[in-house]
Amino acid sequence: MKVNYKRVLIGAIFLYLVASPVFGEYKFPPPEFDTNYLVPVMRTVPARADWLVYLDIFILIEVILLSAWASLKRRSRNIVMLISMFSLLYFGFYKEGCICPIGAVQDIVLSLTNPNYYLPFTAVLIFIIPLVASLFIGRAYCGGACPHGALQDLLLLKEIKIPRWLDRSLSMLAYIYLGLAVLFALTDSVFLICKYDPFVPIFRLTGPFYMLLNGGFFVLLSLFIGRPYCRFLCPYGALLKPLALVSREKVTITPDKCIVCKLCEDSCPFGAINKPDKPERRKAKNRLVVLGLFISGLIAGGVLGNYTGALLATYNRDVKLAVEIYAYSEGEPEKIILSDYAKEYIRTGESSLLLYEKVAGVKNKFKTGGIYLGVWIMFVMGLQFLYAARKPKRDIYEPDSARCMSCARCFRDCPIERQEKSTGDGSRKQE
Amino acid sequence: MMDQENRNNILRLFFKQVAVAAAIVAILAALTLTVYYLSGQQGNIQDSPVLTALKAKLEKYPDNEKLLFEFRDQDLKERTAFFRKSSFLDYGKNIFIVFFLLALAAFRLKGVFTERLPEVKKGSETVYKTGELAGANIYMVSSGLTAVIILGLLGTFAIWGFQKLPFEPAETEIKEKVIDLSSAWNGFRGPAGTGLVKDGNYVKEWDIKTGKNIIWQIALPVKSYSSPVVYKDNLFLTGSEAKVLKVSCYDAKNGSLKWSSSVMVPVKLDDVEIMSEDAGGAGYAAPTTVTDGELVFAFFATDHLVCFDYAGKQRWVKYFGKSENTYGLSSSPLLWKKNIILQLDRGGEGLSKLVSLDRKTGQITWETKRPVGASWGTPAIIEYKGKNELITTGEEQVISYDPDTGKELWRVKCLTGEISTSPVYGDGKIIAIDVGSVSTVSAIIPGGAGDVTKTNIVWSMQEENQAINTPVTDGKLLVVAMNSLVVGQDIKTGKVLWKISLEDDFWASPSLVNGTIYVPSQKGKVYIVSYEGKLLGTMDMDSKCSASPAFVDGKIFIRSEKNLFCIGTR
Amino acid sequence: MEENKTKKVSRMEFLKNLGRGALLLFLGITGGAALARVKKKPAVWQIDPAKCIQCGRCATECVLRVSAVKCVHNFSLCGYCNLCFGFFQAGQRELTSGGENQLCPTGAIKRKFVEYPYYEYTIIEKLCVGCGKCVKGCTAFGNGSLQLQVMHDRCKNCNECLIAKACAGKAFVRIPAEKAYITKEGRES
Repeated sequence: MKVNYKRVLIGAIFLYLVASPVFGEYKFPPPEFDTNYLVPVMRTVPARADWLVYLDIFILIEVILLSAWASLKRRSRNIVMLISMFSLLYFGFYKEGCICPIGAVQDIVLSLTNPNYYLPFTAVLIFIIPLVASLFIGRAYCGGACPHGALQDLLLLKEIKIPRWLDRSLSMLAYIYLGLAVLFALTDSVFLICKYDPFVPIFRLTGPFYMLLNGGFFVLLSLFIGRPYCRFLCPYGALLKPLALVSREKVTITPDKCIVCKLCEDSCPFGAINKPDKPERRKAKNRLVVLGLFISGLIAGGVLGNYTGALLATYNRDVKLAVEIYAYSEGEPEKIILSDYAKEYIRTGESSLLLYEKVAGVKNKFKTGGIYLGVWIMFVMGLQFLYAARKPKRDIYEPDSARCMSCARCFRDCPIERQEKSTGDGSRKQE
Repeated sequence: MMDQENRNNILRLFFKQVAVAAAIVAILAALTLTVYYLSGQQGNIQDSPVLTALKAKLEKYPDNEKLLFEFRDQDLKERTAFFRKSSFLDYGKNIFIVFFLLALAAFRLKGVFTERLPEVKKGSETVYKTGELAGANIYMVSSGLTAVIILGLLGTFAIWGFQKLPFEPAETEIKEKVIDLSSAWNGFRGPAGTGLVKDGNYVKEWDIKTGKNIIWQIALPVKSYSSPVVYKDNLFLTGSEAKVLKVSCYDAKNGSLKWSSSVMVPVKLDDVEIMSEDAGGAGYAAPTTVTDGELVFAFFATDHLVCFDYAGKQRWVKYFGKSENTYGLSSSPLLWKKNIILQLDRGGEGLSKLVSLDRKTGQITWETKRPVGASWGTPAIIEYKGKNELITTGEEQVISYDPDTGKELWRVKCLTGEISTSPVYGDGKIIAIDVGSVSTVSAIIPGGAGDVTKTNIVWSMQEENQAINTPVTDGKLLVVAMNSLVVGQDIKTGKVLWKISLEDDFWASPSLVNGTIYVPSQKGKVYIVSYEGKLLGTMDMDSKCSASPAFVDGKIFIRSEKNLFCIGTR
Repeated sequence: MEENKTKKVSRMEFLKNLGRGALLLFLGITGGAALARVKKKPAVWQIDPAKCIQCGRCATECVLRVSAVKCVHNFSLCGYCNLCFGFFQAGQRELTSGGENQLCPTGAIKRKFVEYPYYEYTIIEKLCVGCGKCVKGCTAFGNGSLQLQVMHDRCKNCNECLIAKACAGKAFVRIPAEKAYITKEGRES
C-alpha cells in the first residue's frame, strides 16, 4: 500500500494548527481520509455589499432634491410621479423597505437609552436627512422619495373626500402612534412601527398573515382615500409636519395670478389646500379659561398616562416572562404549559428574584414613560385645538405647508399654470 | 373629431371591461390564496399525526415489509404535498400581482380616455362649506371632541393599568436576618463540616428490633447517599426517583413529611446519564444539602444547584453544564458569608471549577478554574493566623483559596488516585487522604504561596487499606475509618495510637461525639468506639448506611438505605 | 396698509427663520448624539450557534413564508459519522436513508458514502425549512457541525428581526456585514 507521507504530514500539521484548540471539545474528531476526498466548505452567501449602503444614501439625497426641484421649480406632476415611481421601485421593491426613516425613529430612540444597541450609521443618516431637508424644501421626501407614499399615491383610483374636520382629528392619531412607538422602543419592548407597517409586506410580496392582512387593508383604503397612512398614521410624517411649517421654500399656487377658481382645492386628495377666508375678528376673550383648560388637560393626561403605562408594560417581553415564571413558581408547576422562552429561562437557572427586580425597573420605566406619553398626547391635542381656533385671513387658495406632500397635483389642475405651460414658459421661476 | 371621440369611447369601454375582469380574477386569486394559506401546514413542517401513528405501528411490527412501504409512501406523499403547497402559493401570488396591476393600469387608462379639463364642481362646495357649525368653529368643536375621546380612552386604559401586575417585586425579597446556626446540623458533617460534636447527651445503645431508644423511624421512598441536615424542626433530605430530583423536608420531632418538592429543571434528564447507586456510582443526589435557616440549597449530580425556601418553593436553580465525572458529582455546597461555595471537579478538559454564588439570587459572585480532573470531596473553610482559607482536595493536589475572592493561595501535591475524601483541620494541620490500594494520610501546615509541597508537609503515613470517607479530629486524636480498619492517630506526629480491625467497609464518615466515635458501615451496622480505641458496641441497622449521621439536641439522625432513624431518649 | 402688511410678513419670516434655526440645532444635537453611538459598520442579523437552543422558532417566526434561516453544514467540524445524530432519528431501524430512519421532515439532508466508515452529509438548501431538528441532534450528541445560519440571499435584514424577538436563547445578534456568518470554531467568519 502506497501512502503519500508528505500529504499526510502536511495534513496533520495543518489539522493540528487549525483545529487543535477546537477538537479537544468534539466527541467525534474529524477524520483523516485515505482517499482523495476534499472536505467541502460551509456554504455562505455574502451579505449585501457595504458600498451599496453609501449608494442608498446618495440616491436618497438625490431623489429628495430632484423631487423638490420637480415640485417647487419645474412644477410638474408627471415628473414627480416618475420620481415617486423610481422610489417605489428602488426603495420599495428593490430595497424591500428596510431600513426606512419611519422605522429609524425607533432605532435612534433605543440607542439613546441602550448604548449596547447595534445602531448602524445608515439608520441615523436616513432618519436625519429628510428631516433637515424638510426645513428647507418642505415635505419633498413624502412627495417623491418615500416608497410608502408613492405606493399609496399611485394606487389612488377614485377619491372619496374626507370632511376636513375629520381629517384634522384623524391626523392626531399619528402623534399618538409616534408617542406609543417611542415608548415601546425606549423600553426595548417592540418596534411598533415596523411590526405594523402595512406596506413592507407588499414590497416584499410576502410576510406573516397579520402583516399581509394589514397591507391589503391599506391597499384597499388607498384606492379610495388619498394616502391614508401618510395622513393619519405615519409617525415620521408627524415629525415632518412641524418642520415643514417653518420650511424656507414651500409650494405656492400662482399667488399673484390666482383667480380663486377652487380647482386646486378639488385636485388635492389630501385636503391640504386652504381656501380664502375673511373671518370676522373676534375679540380675544377667555384666554385664561383656555390656558387653564390646556394645563388641566396636560395634568389629566399625565395622571392617566401613568396608569396606562402600567398596562402597556404587560406587552413587554420580560414582563410577560416574569408573569409566566411567577405563575409557574407560585402555582402548580405540573399544570402550566410554559413557553419556550420561560423554559429556557428556567434552564439557565437565573434567579427569578433578579427577573422580578428587572421587571420592576421596566414597569417603572413604562409608568414614567406613560406620564410623558399622556402629557404629549394632551399637548398635541391642545395645540391642535388652539390651531383650529386660529382664523387667519386669506385672499387666495394657499397650500397648508404642514400637510402638503409636494405631489404637484394642484399645478396640473390650475388653469393659470396650464396656460403658462402651454405658452412654453414651463420652468416658471418663482419670485 | 367625432372619430376621435368615438375611438376614445370604445377604448374607454374596453379598458373598463378589462379592468373589471382583471379585478375579479385578482379578487378570486386573493381569496383562494388566503384560504389555501390558512389551511393545513404553514411555514414549519409539523410532525403529521398519520405518520406518527404509522411509525408507532412500524416499531411494533418491525419486520412487516408492507407497513414499511406504506410508511414510505405516506412520507413521500406528505413531503411532496408540503412543497406543492409552497409552489402553489408562489405561483398564485404572481398571478394575483399580475392581475391586480392589470386592473389598476386598465382603470388608469380608462381615466386617461375620459379625462376632461378640470372644472369647478358645484356640489363639492357643500363638503368644505361646513367651516361654521351653528356659529361655532367646526374645527374647534371636532378637535375638542377628539381630545375628549382620547382622554376617555386614556382613562379606560388607565383603569386597566390600575390592576397591578400579579406580583410586587418588593414583597418577594428575602429579609436579612442573623441566624444562629451553632445548635443546628445544617450541612454535610455539621455546621463546621468537621463531624465533631462537643456537647449534648447522645445514646450509645439502641435496638431497632425492640425499638429501644428509637424515637421514630420512617421508610424513605427515595434513594441516595446524601446525609440528613437538621435546622430546628426541619430535617432536609435529597433523593432521586426515576430521574426526578427531589428535596424533602421532614418534621424532626416526629418524622412526618412536611413537603417533598421536585426540582424544576426543564433539561430533559433522559439525556443525562449518571451512574446509579446500584451500578457503583454516586447516583443523582449524593451531595448533602446545606441550609442557612431560611433557605435550603441542594446540589445534584446533574450539575444543578437548586435553592428552596422552608415552604418547599423553589427559589432559583443554577445549571453548570454537562460534566464528565465518572461516578457522578458528590461534593456538597458550603455556606460562606452571603454566598454558597461549590467545588465542581467535573473531569474533562477545563470543566473543573470552584464557584461562589449569591445565596439570595443564585448569581455567581466569583468563579475560579481548577487545574484538576474529577474528584468527590467537599471543601472546608479554616481559620489560620486570622485569615480564612478554603481548602480543597482534588486530583493530585490540595489547593487553598481565598473564600472571598476565589484567588488561589497555595497548593501541595501529595495525593494520588481518585479523591473522595474531604480535608479536615485540627491542631494547625490539614489532613488530606488519598484513595488507592494504599491510602496516604498527609498532614499539611497551611499558609505560604505557590507550590509548598516541599515545605509544608509535616508528616505522612501509609496504610494498606482504602479510605473513601472523611476522617474526624478534635485537635488531638485523628480517626480514620478505612476498609476493614479504624485507626486512631496522634495528629501532632501521625503516630498510630490504636487500630481496630473490622470485617466491614465504611463509606459514611465517622463522627466524634463527646469523646465517643460513631462509625456507620456498609454492612448496616454502627460501630461505637471509645476515645481510647475500645469497641463499645455494634448496633445493627436494617440496611447499609452510606450517609453520615446528624447529631442535634441529643438526637441522632441516621439514614440507612431504606429508612431514616431518629435515635435518642424520648 | 401695504407697509403694515410687509412688516407683518417680515415678522412672520423672522419667526420662521428663528424656528428653523432652533429646529436645525435640535436635529443636529439629536443626530450628533445618535451618530456618536453608532457602530460604524452596516449590520446584518446572524445566529450565534453557541447560544442557539434549536427551539424551532426560526422556521415559524420569520417574516418570509419560508424562513431566511437555513441549516448549513460546517464540514470542517463534521465527524463524518456513520450513525449521524443529525440525519437519523432516534430508534432508527437501520443506518440507511429510508424515510423511516430520517430525522429531517423535508428530507433535505443527502447522505453519501465517502470511505469506510465515513459518510458525507450535505444540506439541500432548497428543501430546508430551518426547523433545526438536525441541528438539535447534532449539537446534543455529535460535534455540532450542523448549524442554523441566516442566509443573506434570503434575509431582508429587517430593522427589527421577528425571529430575534422570539428567540428563546437570545442567539440572534447583529454583526458587521463583512463577516456575516458565525461558525463554532472561529465564532465569526
